[in-house]
Amino acid sequence: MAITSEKMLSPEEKDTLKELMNIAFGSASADLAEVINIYLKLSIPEIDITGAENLADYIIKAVDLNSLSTLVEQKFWGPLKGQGVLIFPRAEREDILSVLHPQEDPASSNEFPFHPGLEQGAFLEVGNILLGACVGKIAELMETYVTYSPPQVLYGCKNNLDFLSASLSKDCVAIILKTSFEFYKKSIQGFLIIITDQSSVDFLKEGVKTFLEAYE
Amino acid sequence: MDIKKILIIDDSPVARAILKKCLPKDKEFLVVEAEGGREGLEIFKAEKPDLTFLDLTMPEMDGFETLILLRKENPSALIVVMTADRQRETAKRVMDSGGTLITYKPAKPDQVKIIFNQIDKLEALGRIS
Repeated sequence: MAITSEKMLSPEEKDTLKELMNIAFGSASADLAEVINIYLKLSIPEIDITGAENLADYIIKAVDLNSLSTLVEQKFWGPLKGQGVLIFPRAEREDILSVLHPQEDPASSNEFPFHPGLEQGAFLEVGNILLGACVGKIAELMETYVTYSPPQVLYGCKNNLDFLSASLSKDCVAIILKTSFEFYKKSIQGFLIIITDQSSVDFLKEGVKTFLEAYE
Repeated sequence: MDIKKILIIDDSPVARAILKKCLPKDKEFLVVEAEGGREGLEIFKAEKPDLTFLDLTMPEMDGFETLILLRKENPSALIVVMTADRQRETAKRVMDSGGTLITYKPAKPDQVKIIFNQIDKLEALGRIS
């Protein structure tokens, strides 16, 4: 059964969710910039709805997922529950890490001191900041709270995206809040995707209403 | 400063509606709206607003590009950038591109009141005319 986004969320609710995502990611990017000396170019968020069984295909197409891709995934619980996924689809991991975890003295060597522990730690740190701050800000704007699982890093998992829909019933729909960003003056693009399901629809609607009621 | 006509340039209808509700209630304003930078620039030229609120993250022509063109059109215009992007580098780029002030989303009535007060202070200091 195809459930259209129009039936689930009204155009005004979708516009408001886009604006909430915009505010949340704008805040999260500033949190990251405080920790790491980088500057993110932000994009306009999108809201999509797809069947849970199509979620993996949706993600693969939406971000051009491939064997180079690096993902950081974090689940969250509360009145709003789901998972956040940070995706770097195309860049070499060494290139991303040279931005996320630069050497203190870049002139001292042309080689980035690359090792697995550092790599994992840098991605976890960035994922934790961006995903936590973004989801947390949305929850704050909707006057609620969420708790998080520890983030995990996944590499090149185009053929194994089952974790994305593991927490969703097969017959339910996935609500996707998506935004993209670029490291300024670097050709590295990333995506932040928040996935929730229809069990959170009532809460999302109520959250949107709460946010807008503050202006009545 | 006697602000009567306000232009809001933002692709988000929700953001525009929120900002309109946050304008001071003790004054009357004529508010004109644009959904993007290109349309905003045309309205800016035609309407000559006393104050312009400008978003940064917009399709086609973003707020930075729009800001530079607005400033070229009117070097003394009051242009307040209202953005969700709280990065310090963004604030620096806004001021380098000619923004009068920068403030952050979501808009709040108190915050907009502060913007109006800051505009009065800048005028008193002779920083704007």
